[in-house]
Parts: sequence; C-alpha cells; structure tokens
Amino acid sequence: MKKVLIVLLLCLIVPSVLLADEEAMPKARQYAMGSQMFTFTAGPVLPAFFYRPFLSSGDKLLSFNETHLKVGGYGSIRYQGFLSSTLALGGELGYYFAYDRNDLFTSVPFQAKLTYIPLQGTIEIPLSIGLGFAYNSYQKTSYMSLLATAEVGFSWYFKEEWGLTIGTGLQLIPELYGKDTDNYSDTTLAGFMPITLSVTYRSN
Amino acid sequence: MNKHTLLITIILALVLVSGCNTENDGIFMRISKSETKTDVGTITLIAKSGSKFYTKTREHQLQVYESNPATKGWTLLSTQATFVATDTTNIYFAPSVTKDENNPISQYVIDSSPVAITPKYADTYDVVAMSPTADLMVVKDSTDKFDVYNVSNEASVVSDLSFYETNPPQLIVQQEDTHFIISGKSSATEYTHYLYDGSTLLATITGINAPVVAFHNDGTNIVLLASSSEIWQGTVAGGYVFTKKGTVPSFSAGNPSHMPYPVFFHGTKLYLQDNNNYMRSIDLPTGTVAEEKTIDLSAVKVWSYLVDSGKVYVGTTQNGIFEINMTTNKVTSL
Repeated sequence: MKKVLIVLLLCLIVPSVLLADEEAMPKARQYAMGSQMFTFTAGPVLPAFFYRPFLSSGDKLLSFNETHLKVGGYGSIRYQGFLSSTLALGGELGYYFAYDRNDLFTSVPFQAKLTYIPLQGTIEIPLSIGLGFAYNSYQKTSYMSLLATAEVGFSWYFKEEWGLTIGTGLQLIPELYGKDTDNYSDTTLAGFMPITLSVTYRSN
Repeated sequence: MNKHTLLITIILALVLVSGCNTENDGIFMRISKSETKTDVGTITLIAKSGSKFYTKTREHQLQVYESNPATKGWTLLSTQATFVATDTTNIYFAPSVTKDENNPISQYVIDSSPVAITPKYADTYDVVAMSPTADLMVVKDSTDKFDVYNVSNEASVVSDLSFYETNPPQLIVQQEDTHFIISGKSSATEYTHYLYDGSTLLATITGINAPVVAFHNDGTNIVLLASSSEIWQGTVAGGYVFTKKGTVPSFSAGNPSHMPYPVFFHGTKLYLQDNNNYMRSIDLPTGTVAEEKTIDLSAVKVWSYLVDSGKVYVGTTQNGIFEINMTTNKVTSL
C-alpha cells in the first residue's frame, strides 16, 4: 500500500512542479525557441499496478508481484523541439517488454511528449508528460490502447551537447471494454514504472 | 484543420481505440491470472493417495506428484505408460507396440516404497484403450473383434464387439462409477454406442453419427456429448431413448487433442471447458448448456479431471494440477 501511495504522490508532485512559477527558477537559460534534443533511453520497468474498477469479485487493485508480471525492459527514441526557453514538445517511440509467469507481454508506445526544464545548464531537471497510443500484444491477441505518461529526471551534461539522465515515472495503459460487452469486468488501468538511463544530444 | 474538425477527429480516435478491444479477452486480466508452466507437460490424472497424485504425463511417463508444500515435486516411475488403468490399489500400464503385436502390461503398487513395478501380462493382449480412472481395458482379439476386460484379474466384461473395418472404438468411463460406453464406427457412415453398467448392456445407441466423447448417468437422467458438439439427453425410466438437445458452443473434441473429452459431474450438471477455456455445464435433467463464469480456469487448458471423495482435481496441458472447490468455486494451484 505504501508503494501505491508513493506512486500517487509522484503523480501529484509532477504536475505541481510543472505549474510552478517560472520566475522562481534560475534565470540562466540553455535553450531558446528552435533548440532541439535527441534522446535515447533504456532501462528496467517495474509493473506498478493493475486497477480493475468493474471487477465483481476478487482484488480490484493488484500491485507489483500481484500483477504476475516480472520486471521488464523499456527502450525508446525521442525528438523534441523547444517552444520556449523552458518547454520542449516532440514525439517518442518506444518498446516495452515483460514476462508474466509464462508468456511475453509487449507494448509499442508512441506518444507526443511535452517537457518542462526549470533548471538548466550542466545539471538539469526535466519534467515530462506524454499522451499517445500503445500497441499491446500478449499471447495471440493484440490491441491498440491509449497511453499517458509522466516522468521526472536528473540530467548531467558532461559535454556541452551530450548529457546523461536518470529518470523515473509512470506509464498508464487503460484497457477499456464497453458496458455491454462480455469483457466489461476485464477493464483495467495498468501502471508501469520505468527506471531509465538516457543519453541526450542537444543543439541550440 | 479547424477546432471542430480536430475535436471530432480526437473523439473518433478514442471511440476507435475503445472499440478495438471488444473482440479480445482482457489482456491484463489474463496476465494477472497466468500460471507457472510445469516441465511435465500434459497431465492425465489417474489416482490420488493422501497428498500424492499419480499421473500420466507427456512422453508416456508415469509420474507421481507430491503436492505437500514442504516436499512438492515430481518423481518419474516409468516411461512405458502409453496406456494406463487403475483399480485404486495398483496402476496398470503398457507401452505402445508395433501394429498387431501384443502389449506387455506392467503393474505398479500405489505408494510402494521402494517402487514396486512388476510385469503383469507379458504378451497376452493387443491393447486398444485403457481407462486412466478405472480397471478396464479394450483389446482386439484374434478375430479382429473387441473385448473389454478388468485389467487387475483378466475378468471378461464384454466380448466380441464388431466395428467397421476394425476401427478401434473409444472407451469412455464414468468416474467413481461402473457405467461405461464403447463408441465406434459400425458402418461407413454410422456409429454405434454401447452403454454398460458393469458387464450389463443397458442400451445399444444408434442415430448419433459421431463418436461419443463424454457422458454421465446419474441413475435417473443421462447425457451424451458427441464429438460433433451435439448434446443428447435421455432417461433411465424412458428406456435410454435419446433426444438431441442442442450443441455446446465453442466446442471441439480435438481440443484437447485426446478422447474421451475431459468432464466431471457435480450436483446435477456435467462440467467441461470449451475452446476458449471458459467452463460450461450441461444440466442432466434438461440437457441445456450454460456458461459457468464463477469457475475460473481461463488461464489454463484442461487435459483431465479426477473426482476423488467429492473433490475435483484438474490436470492441465502445461500448468500442473489444480483443485476446484465446488462449494466456493475457488480454483487453487496444487
């Protein structure tokens, strides 16, 4: 339960930081409109929770091991262009995989990503939210779902253009079924927590 | 693109995304129910003794599974068990042999320690079928007719059944009971099904032109399930006259790929798993079929059932052994 609270806390903190007063942040700006970033990301993913709101019997909320998913992996490529000195908008294409007790679950998320970087320079703290779709496959079935992500990172630019980022966050994949379908009770909001290392190239 | 067009596009995309999922089972639901694979493969349950399950597994292996959590594990007893039968004290097994040769039959004493396996009949019977949960075998005799014997004492149960071009018949035995059916092709286009109680012929059933793959007789009503998915219902009082009552949806006798089809009886219903791994029941008095959503075996494919002292145990194709509590409908991995 504690772990779930931490996840929820993260969800609350990320938007509040995004909405923080820009004036309170350091004045020195690394980026300007037109600046660009290329990011390559990889790392393990923890299965955070499955929430089944319409389940008539059994546990509606499963967390971590209870989901039967093992620790998986995530890799992605991302391109973003800056809209202002602190906001970058772009797209990310990824690949996530994890095994349950037998079989492989894969997801190919593609999303629009908005990143806010309040602290800039050699050390940066990027905060991102994303919205898009994920193509999910398991056993012989697959389907397209919505996707929402939120993440926070800590970056160190060891060269002017090149930096490393340690990041974490939450990826939400809803599996939706209509009320009149046989699978209505299978409706699930799945949460995944990637812990990633990224390499970023930036250009002004 | 104006604002309205953009909004409509987004809404249509959302509807499409939600709609895409309606044909599938819930992926995350199935993941949360996934079960660990065992390395023994398909499990035909034969007998239970205490916490031990005696089974036939893939590659004709006779194995015992200890379900006690402290000493859980599989022990191989023999690799010669293409056919298996039991009288609850012993397990009888035989390997497959070249066509028209006789099968050597061996005997294993249940719970024997050290393991006691001895030859029973060296070269006497051309075995066509054995029942894993009963002391019965079907053999082909020297005149190409079929006989049924008790394996334990060679007592003749049925003699001289003829089938079309010596096509081997199916032996379907009711668990914890003396009823059984011998079902086979009696001509190029017809099947005949012989219903017995012990060695007494109760009925010679014709008009069901497909192999019978499962049945149950509760003493009043009787239901037959044909490989064509047809349900036939009759009564003892009615003289075993059968009426077609419908079909089992999503049913294929070839899935799992062996016969008889795995079923068990509880209350007034005959239970089975369909091709989509959903449980269904056939009501014996009416022959009607219903979905049994509260018994959840959707994460596994059933290969066999064993009813022992009122409890129902499930052998699966790759996930080990489970128990169904028929009071709570809870399914537990053993």
